[in-house]
Parts: sequence; structure tokens; C-alpha cells
Amino acid sequence: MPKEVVLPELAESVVEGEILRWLVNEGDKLKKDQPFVEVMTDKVTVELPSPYEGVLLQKLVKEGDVVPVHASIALIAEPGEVTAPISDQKPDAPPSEQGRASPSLQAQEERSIVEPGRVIEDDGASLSLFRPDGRQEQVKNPFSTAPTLPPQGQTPLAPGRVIAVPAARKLARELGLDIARIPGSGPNGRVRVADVKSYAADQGSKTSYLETIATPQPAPPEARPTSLGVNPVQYKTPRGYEDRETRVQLRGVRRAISNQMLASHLYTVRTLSVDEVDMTELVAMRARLKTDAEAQGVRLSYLPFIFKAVVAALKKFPSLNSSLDEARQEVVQKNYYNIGMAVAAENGLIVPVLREVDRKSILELANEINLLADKARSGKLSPEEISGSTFSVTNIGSIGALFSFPIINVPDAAILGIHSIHKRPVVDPSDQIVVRQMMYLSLSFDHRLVDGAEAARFCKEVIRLLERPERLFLEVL
Amino acid sequence: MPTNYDLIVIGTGPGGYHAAIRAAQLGKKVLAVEAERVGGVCLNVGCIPTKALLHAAEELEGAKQGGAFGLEVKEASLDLKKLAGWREGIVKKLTGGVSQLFKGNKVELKTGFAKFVDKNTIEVAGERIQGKAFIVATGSEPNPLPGFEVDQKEILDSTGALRVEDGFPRRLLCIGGGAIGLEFAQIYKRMGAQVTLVEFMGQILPAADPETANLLAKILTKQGLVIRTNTKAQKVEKKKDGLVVTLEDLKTAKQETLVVDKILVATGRRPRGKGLGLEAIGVKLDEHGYVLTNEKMETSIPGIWAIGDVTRPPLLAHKAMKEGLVAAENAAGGNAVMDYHVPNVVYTSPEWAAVGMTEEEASKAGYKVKVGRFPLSASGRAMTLGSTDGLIKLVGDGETDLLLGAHIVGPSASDLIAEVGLALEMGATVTDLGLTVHAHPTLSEGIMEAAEHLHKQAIHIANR
Repeated sequence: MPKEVVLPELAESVVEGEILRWLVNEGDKLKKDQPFVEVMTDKVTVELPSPYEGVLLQKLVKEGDVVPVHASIALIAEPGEVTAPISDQKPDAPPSEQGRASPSLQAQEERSIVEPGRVIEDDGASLSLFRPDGRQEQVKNPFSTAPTLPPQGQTPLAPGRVIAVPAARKLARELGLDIARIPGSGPNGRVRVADVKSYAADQGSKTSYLETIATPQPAPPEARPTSLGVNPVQYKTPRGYEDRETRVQLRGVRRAISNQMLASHLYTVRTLSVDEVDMTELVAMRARLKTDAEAQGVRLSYLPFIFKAVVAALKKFPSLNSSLDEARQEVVQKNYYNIGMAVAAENGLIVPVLREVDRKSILELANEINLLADKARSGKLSPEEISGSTFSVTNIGSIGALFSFPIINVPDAAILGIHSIHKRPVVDPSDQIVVRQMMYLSLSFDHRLVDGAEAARFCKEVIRLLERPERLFLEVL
Repeated sequence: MPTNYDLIVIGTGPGGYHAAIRAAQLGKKVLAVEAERVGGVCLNVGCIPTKALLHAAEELEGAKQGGAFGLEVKEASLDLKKLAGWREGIVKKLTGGVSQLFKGNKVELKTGFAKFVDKNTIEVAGERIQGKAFIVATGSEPNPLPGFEVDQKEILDSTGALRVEDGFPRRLLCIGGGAIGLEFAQIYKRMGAQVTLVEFMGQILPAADPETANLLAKILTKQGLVIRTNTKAQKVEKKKDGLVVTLEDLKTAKQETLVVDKILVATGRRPRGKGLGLEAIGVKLDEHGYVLTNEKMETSIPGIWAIGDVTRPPLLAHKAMKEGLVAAENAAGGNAVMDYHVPNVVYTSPEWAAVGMTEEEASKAGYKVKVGRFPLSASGRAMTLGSTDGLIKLVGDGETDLLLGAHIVGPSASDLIAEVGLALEMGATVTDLGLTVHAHPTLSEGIMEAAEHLHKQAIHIANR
């Protein structure tokens, strides 16, 4: 019997994964632990090792499908279990001799008009146009409910085929939804257009994060998606511009980012507090310490100092280091400090997490920041390395906006945007205009958890520490 | 600087012209390339002219057989020149219509045989033309039968058999009991020929539901056609008194000879996938020359699509048309797949039509098969048409009542099957068909009655 392979739990709190790429074809041999499929969870890509030795009999999910943890993704046959390729089977025709081929060719061709069957997609050589005669025992797929690619134009109503009206199938395709996942409200679970629409509306407003922590929503579910206006919006190309646009499927990292951003937009009450900090002393201090760090092989940026200042401030204003458990109507205050660090990787934004920032030295932090950033850019982060943040920092300054309004990395309560350090004229306490190294801070916070005054005080504390960086010593454990 | 098109469609048969027009509707700059005649096999030498001849033959037969209700036609006859002219008129009107549709949709047309230079360029009549995407819709051609080389004089294929101007042979042998063989056998029979049809397999329409296929064979036999299944045409010799064909009964291995004047070879069709340079640019074909595609009609080379007969059976115009739309929509950046039920029709009278699964396929797929039947002998409408030979048969799932398929023999079966096609696409239950009010008296009532019969509740027939 072929074995089913399920999507394993890739990390705690990961509830689903997107099938990015199959690394083997149906019919290919697999060694135990050989990577056979690439799966993306949140934003991290992993190659799943095969749990068995054998032959990949069937892919049960397509590239681009989002699959829940524990769902079956493939069938693997044990070595020796695989039956001969379809094309090797001879039709049950009278013994062939020369000249007899043509009528039987016709006969088989005609037969294939109405016989359902599956075609092995990837292997051109084994793809048999003509299928074995019905009277001969056929290779019977024991998992007949699994989706298979039927010959074109002949979608047999195999058990497990989704019963859906054509308009619903078309709409689901256009919205990029898998019709098989949409619950149908008609007889035999028939999927109607209305079912696709309501499923799409639900999908649009949910993300994996929200599904895990906030399943029972206080608001009536039917009112939620429409009143928030998150029914999928169809973009229509303006007449005359058809040639001047390109379309790509929303997949992988871009889809994960899209879901995460929408969740943040919909489920936080985002408020902005902007301030500025005089970095002159820190610039000088970092210049002094840079060579010491380099001697130990560490590139020293401003980030470890900022992280330290942020954690010190979070300890004073714990509401910024909390989350809201809507389901239980509880505020969760975290007594640990894991700081998410937004990194612009080649294929999109990703937020690796520095753990226990309060318990690490500046040098340790500097080293870890560099490691995580490199991993992020090369796409080698593990699922654990991008989960569990309690607060995030985004370094906008490295690219150069004057200031921007960061979006909260849910379920955090706030995110601090830091900007470029510029020399600017500043009026000093003695009313003199002096040149100082200035930097803008933009704190974006969830106003449900954090009051405006608290946010302002938090910023002032960060500023106080950064402007006189030796104060950080007072915070050292 | 060669002209650059968004899409080049190679072949203007039913699939090709659908693809070209749909792509143009979606705002693409489209070129259609045709090596022979616009409209392809279907319009010029396939579906359309055959149906014209079938209709003429049926009218002639009707005039001859009208005696039952008192119609007296002293001598019914056909003017074959006029018949040929009428057939050509229809073909011209339809192919002209396609050309007009091209113009109306700003699809450019170029005549010549297209050959791929690379995956963005074809050469047509010495000119290189570039396209961002291509749809290969080159169709199929009759399958040759070794030993029976077509000369279109004595040994014909479906194209040669359309020529009626010079009269019909006294004796015809049809090799192949598929749709083409059956339709021509009936035309020739009704035009006065003695027709023998041989089929290699155990039943005509070998892939079809055996009950309805055998019923059709029985009705056609009753009309005077000689049908021999399990029979192979071995060889032919030209002698003074005609073509002497050696036939072998595959069950008994006995051989005998049959003398005829003409032979129609109708042993299926083969794809026209070779000679286009497809393989050279990396498009994969199978060993029979069919272009391999997925359900979006994409070939193994991105940007090159293939549809219709050149891809895989069933070789049916309406399958090609839908595939053409799917490919065109995808080539224009859409997301369409070919996931529809394709009905299959034989246009003899009575007609045979089917859609969905046979009983055997349904039980193989794991359904608890239930069958409902309605013989046309119980239909008032069939009686008034003088055509009570026929059967409407529905296949359903006993557990969920899901409708799985239909197989019909009878007048207008080709039109009746559309209702069941829609029902299948809509995921209807057999009960849905039974509960739908059908006008009386119609043949379509038979579908409702067959549905009721499946639940043992038919009114007009015994519910066994």
C-alpha cells in the first residue's frame, strides 16, 4: 500500500504551509530523507525530507496550494510496489500481427473518448495516449479520492471530484482559490457561486495568525468581512492598456506578506508618534568602539545600541511589550524581550527575531544581527527564527526616507521605525545653532494596548538613553 | 523588421478560429495562419458537409417511408448536382462567415504552411513572423490503413466520400464502425448503395455504452445496413467485377471475400503535430504525434499552447472550440482550465449521443451504479414522429443520487444530450432531472421519465 505523506508541524504555531515547488516528479524514486518538496511557512522556506524510501506515486497538492499542517500532500509507494507504467500495458485485443494495428488503433482511440483515466503529467515517454482496454485489470489507485489530472475534456465524476457549478469553478480559479477547499451548500456539497464568494471573503480577512489566536471573534462573523470591505477586489485593466501590464500569481513570500499586512491593517488600531533623537554622542561612541569590535571579527552598527535602549524602555513601559488575546479578552504582558528586525530581503520583507535581547551584550547582539540579516537575505532562516517577536524595529534609514509610518508586526503591540542619521542645525540650550547628528524615530503602536502618552514617554526614554549612551551602562545586568 | 503579434494561431478550424477571436476580444493583436482553407476540416470536409448529406438522405428516406401515415411520393429522387451545390453553399457561407468574423474582430489572416523557426518565430510562405505566444491548432487527418491506400476514386477517405456529384456506388464497404464510418454508411445506404460495415472490435462505437451502441447497430441493421463486428478487412484486389476484399472473422478466424465497387476507410484520424518544427523548439509530442498539454492547454514550452485534435482524443470540434477559448484566455493572461464534460454524438438517424460516464466507468470509479431507462417505444412524441426505435438511459449514483452520465439513441439525441450536459456541469442529482417539468409531448420527457425510472417511479413504463 502506498503511504501518505502529511505536512509536518514545521514549527510551533505554524498551522499551514504553501507548496512552493516539487523537487521530484511523479514516478521518480526517492531515498529516505531526500528533499522532495519545498514548502513555505509564514515566510520561511524549508525542503521537506522524504519520510520513506520508495517512489513518488502522486502529488496530492499543487504548487501554490496552501495546505494545513497534517494534511496529506503526497503518496509514496514502497520500493517494488509500483506497477508497470500505463503505456506498457497492452490492450486486450486479439493477437496482433502486421496490418492489424490500424483498426485496433482506431478502436482504442474511440475508446479513449469516453473512458476516464489519468495521465502521468511529467514523463512524456510514459504518457500513454491510448489507455488499457477496459476489460483488462487496470492500475487501481487505492486513493481514488485524490485529485488526479484527467484527460482533457473528460473530467470523470470520480469520487472526490468537486461538485461545483461551472461559474463557481471559474470564479474560484480567478480568485486563486482551490475549489476543493470551499465548502458547498448545495446537495452533495455542490459548490455554488455564493459559496465561493463567502469563502473568498473569509479568506481575505483571515491569516494564519488570526486563525490560531483569535478564532472566536466577538463580532458576528458574517458582518465582519463585508463591513470591513475586504471582499477580494478584482482589478480590471483599463481599456487600451492591456499590452502594457504584466500579471504574476500572488504566491510565496508576496502572498505571506500580503496576508500579514492585511491582518495588521485590519486588527490593530495603528497610531503614530514621531520624535527625533540627537545621535551625536552615539555616533562618536560607535566610532570609538568599532575597531574593538572588528578586532573580535564583528561589524558594529548602531542597531545593537538601539535594541538595548528599546529593551530598557520596554521594561519601563510594559504595555508596548504585550499582545491582545481577543478570544479570551485578555491582555498578555510578556516578561521576555524578543525583538523582530525587519530586513529587506531580495524576494520581500522578512522579520527575523533576536531573542532575549536584555540578556545579551552589545557585541553578542551585533554578531547575531549580522548573522540573521545574512540568513534573511539568502533565504536560510528557519521557522523558529522568524516567530515569537514581542516588539519590532524597522530600519528605514538605511534606504533613506525622511520618516515613515511602520505597520505593526502582529501580534506585537508596537514597532519602532528608525531613520537615517543626518547632520542638521539644532538650537542648543544656550540658543546657539549647532550642527548635530539627528535621527527621526517613528513609533507605530496599537492604541488599544498603548495610550498615546505612554507611547510618547516610551520614545522619550529611548531618546534619553541614546542621546547619552553611557546611561546604557546603568541598564547592564 | 518583422511584424510582432501578441498571438499567432496556427490553423483556423473550429478550435483555431475560436481561439483567435477570443484572444482578439481580449485586446490582443492576433494573426491566424491557415495552410489550406479557413474553417478547417470541420467546416470544409468534416462535420458540416457530412451533416448536409445526412439530412438530404434522411429527407429522401422520409419521402420513401412516409407510407405509414399516408404520404405517397411516386418517385422520390435526388438531383445530385443540386445536392452538391447545396452542400457547397452551406460550406461557403460558414467559411465566409469565419473570414468575416476575423475581419470584424481585427484578426489578421495569412495563408501558408507555418513552421517554427524558434519559439518566438514562425516562417510562413518564406516570411518570418514573430509572436509573443502561439496556439497550435493544426487538427488531424484520416488515419491510413495499410493495404487500403486511398486514391479517392475507388478507395476513399472521409473527404473523398463527400463527393456525391458523380453518383453513388452500387456496393460500398465501410471499414471502421466509429462515427465517420456509421454516418457515411447510412448516407450511402439511403442513396441506394448496398453497404457493408466492418468493425474490428466487438461492437460499433467500441468505447461507447454497449447497450446503446448495440441498439444503434440493431436499428441500422433493420434499416438494411450489414454490420459485421469482430471483423478485419485483410486485403483488397482489383478484379473485373469490382474490388474483392478479403474479410476475416476474428472469432472463428474464417476468411471470406466480398465484392464491392468502392471502399471507405474510416479507421480513425491521426494528429497533425509533425512537420511544424515543434519538436525542434522543444515542444513535446507523444509517440503518436499528439502534442502534450496540461489542463490549461500549455505545451512543454511556455508561451506555446495547443488545442483540439492535435492534442489528444476525443477528436471533436466542440472539444477543440472550448479548448481554443481556454488557451486564448490563458495566453491573454487569464486563468482558465479545460475541466468540462464533452458530449459525443453520432449523427445517424436515429442519432446516438452520450455525455459523462458509462455504467462500467462509474462502477470502476467506485459508485454504486443505478440505471434508469426510457425506451422511445413508450414516448407519444416518438410515435408521432414515426421513430420509436431508441432508448434514453441515465447513469446515477445510488448512494448520493448524483447524476453521472447519459446515453441516448433516438431522433434529436444530439440536442437532448445538451440538457444532461448542463445537469452534469451543475452537479445535478437524478432527482433534479425527474423534478424538472418537461413539455409534453416531447422527446425530452424521456429524460425525466428515465430519471423517475431510476427511482422506480416511472409512469409510462414498468419499474423493474
